[in-house]
Amino acid sequence: MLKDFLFDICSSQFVSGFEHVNSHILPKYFKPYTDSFEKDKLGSYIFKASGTSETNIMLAAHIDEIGLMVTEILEGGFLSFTSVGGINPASLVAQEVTVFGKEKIFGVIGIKPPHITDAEERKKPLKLKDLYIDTGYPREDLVKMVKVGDIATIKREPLSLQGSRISAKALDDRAGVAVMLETAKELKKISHKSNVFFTATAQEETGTRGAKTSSYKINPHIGIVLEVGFGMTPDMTDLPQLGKGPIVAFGGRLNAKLTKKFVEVCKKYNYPLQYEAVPGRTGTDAEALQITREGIPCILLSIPLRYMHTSVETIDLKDVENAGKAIARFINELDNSDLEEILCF
Amino acid sequence: MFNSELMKKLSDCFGPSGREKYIRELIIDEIKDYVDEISTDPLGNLIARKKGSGKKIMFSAHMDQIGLIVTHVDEKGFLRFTNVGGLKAKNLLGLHMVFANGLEGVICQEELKDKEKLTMGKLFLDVGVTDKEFVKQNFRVGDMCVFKSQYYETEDCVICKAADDRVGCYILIEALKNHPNTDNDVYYVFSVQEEVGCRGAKTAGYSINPDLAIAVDVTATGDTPDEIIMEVKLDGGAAIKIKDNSLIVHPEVKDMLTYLSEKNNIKYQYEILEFGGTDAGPIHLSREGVPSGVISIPTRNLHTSGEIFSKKDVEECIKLVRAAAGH
Repeated sequence: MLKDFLFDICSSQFVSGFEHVNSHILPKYFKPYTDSFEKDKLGSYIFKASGTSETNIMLAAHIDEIGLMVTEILEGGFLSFTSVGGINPASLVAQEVTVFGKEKIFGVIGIKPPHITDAEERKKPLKLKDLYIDTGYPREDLVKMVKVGDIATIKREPLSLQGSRISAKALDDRAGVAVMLETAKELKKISHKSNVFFTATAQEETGTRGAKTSSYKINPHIGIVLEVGFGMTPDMTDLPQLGKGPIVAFGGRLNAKLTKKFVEVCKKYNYPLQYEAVPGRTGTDAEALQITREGIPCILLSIPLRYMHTSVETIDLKDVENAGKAIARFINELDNSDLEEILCF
Repeated sequence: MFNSELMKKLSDCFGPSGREKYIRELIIDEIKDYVDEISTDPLGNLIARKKGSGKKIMFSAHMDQIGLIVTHVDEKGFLRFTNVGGLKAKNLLGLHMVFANGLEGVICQEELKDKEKLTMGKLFLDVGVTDKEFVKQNFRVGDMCVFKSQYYETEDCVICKAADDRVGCYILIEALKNHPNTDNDVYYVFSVQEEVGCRGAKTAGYSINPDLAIAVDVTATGDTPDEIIMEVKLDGGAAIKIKDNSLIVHPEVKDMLTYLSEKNNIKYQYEILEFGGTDAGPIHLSREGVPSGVISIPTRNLHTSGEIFSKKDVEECIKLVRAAAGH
């Protein structure tokens, strides 16, 4: 079920700024567990699970993904493109892509053969402007189907690895969205007092923009931001590991007492947890929430993920499940505590 | 018909970011007989309104320009400075600058072995005065200056300083003078401090809280002998922005501007700018969010003393602003 949801949303495109295109998908999954649904003006999806108290809790995970945008239609069926969000050009080489023009168009991104790449060129890092999408169409046909500003994504189907590991594009931050769905399911089983707003934010990858407008609209008492964090690989051994629990962040941009409370709840109920220190910018929606209106106290929880911003992002589903349950438990505990006291400096 | 006299006045008026007094007064004078309401907000934005009971639409063109600010007046009577807005040391050598009080100076450099290492700190202003006391009396830390250059016009184009974004102001003024017959509640905003981070638009967007916002600003072009890959070109018509670093234009706004262009026979082109931003950046993130777009004027040689744009493109932009105001 969790895996089906992730596979479904990871194989659909929600490129930053174009989150409205597949707008039927999220409501289908969230509506059974929530009471109302609306969107903010930037396109963030807001699902509300109503409680009995006046307390509003906002969960935020961004639905948008990095993508490509057509900048020029060239002779011979080639398309120049720029990126929407941060992409390492090297990760695009030899990929299949889907261009979302008037209709879906398939293409490939190639690279100069090694035989004729000289030593000097090899040393230079690739740039986006050196790459092209090859569609195979003659230009006169292509201009009828594709316009400057149309978007494209890497074409990659989600993949089950061994055990509970999966690999897909856009697990940053669909893994966070999946955590929200897990929390929604858990909360449905208990009678929670707080109003909980599950927010799939728009345009995080271009500057946490949807989080700014949606948090202004919701005006919550606290924020729980769900992201992905760097997971351990053989070349980066001192990082959190996949399958050992979500990563809770400590740092100046996050509320220390609320974070402490979350850690206590996880310890009390034996939910696995890993830790990271983020002294400055987190580069997440928490950044936006913290300074919305009068300020929103936030915690930041990340799912360990390998190969961020490539089409083979890899996570362990256990971390998503555990994070979802831990947050539901946390909300339940907050319902029975004096929130004002926790938030008081 | 291109109003050369107005464009020249706007370009020549002193108004670096944070010092928009004169340009604001000039614009007030120009539009006061055509508006229903006019006010200046706490940051200095000039907000002109054509009242209506319908949709609230905000247009924004910034009236500030890039410039320099004096950081130190030395014992010998030379001025050290830093930039206000996007200016690089290597582009400043030898330029003629003018202060609000009308005094002028020219940018000189210290003797440097490695020209590549030129920084703002190695440059100074020589104001052409040997009387050190006079320099002390007339120049103080915090004084700002802007490019001094001659306005020039050909059959096709204008070459002038501060086209960024006085040409946007020109477009709003001309559109305002021919405001369409409409129920829409339309705000024409001449914003401050865009060049230092779109600061004026941030507060104007918050206070107006519009249903739709459209910035009118210059954009780069891909039609010169250099490496920028861009489809935008001079004489290509009004540029409808799709994306820059501050904004992904709301798809409905993009579609609306496209529809209006096609319906009214307005020449247009799509624009993707891979750097920079405009007033629409902060406006679209104001409060709960504002669907926003940008109408751009293709302009070459940006942020120099001689920016170049096409008079025909400007006419197309005016038509598109009017169409959007009345839609």
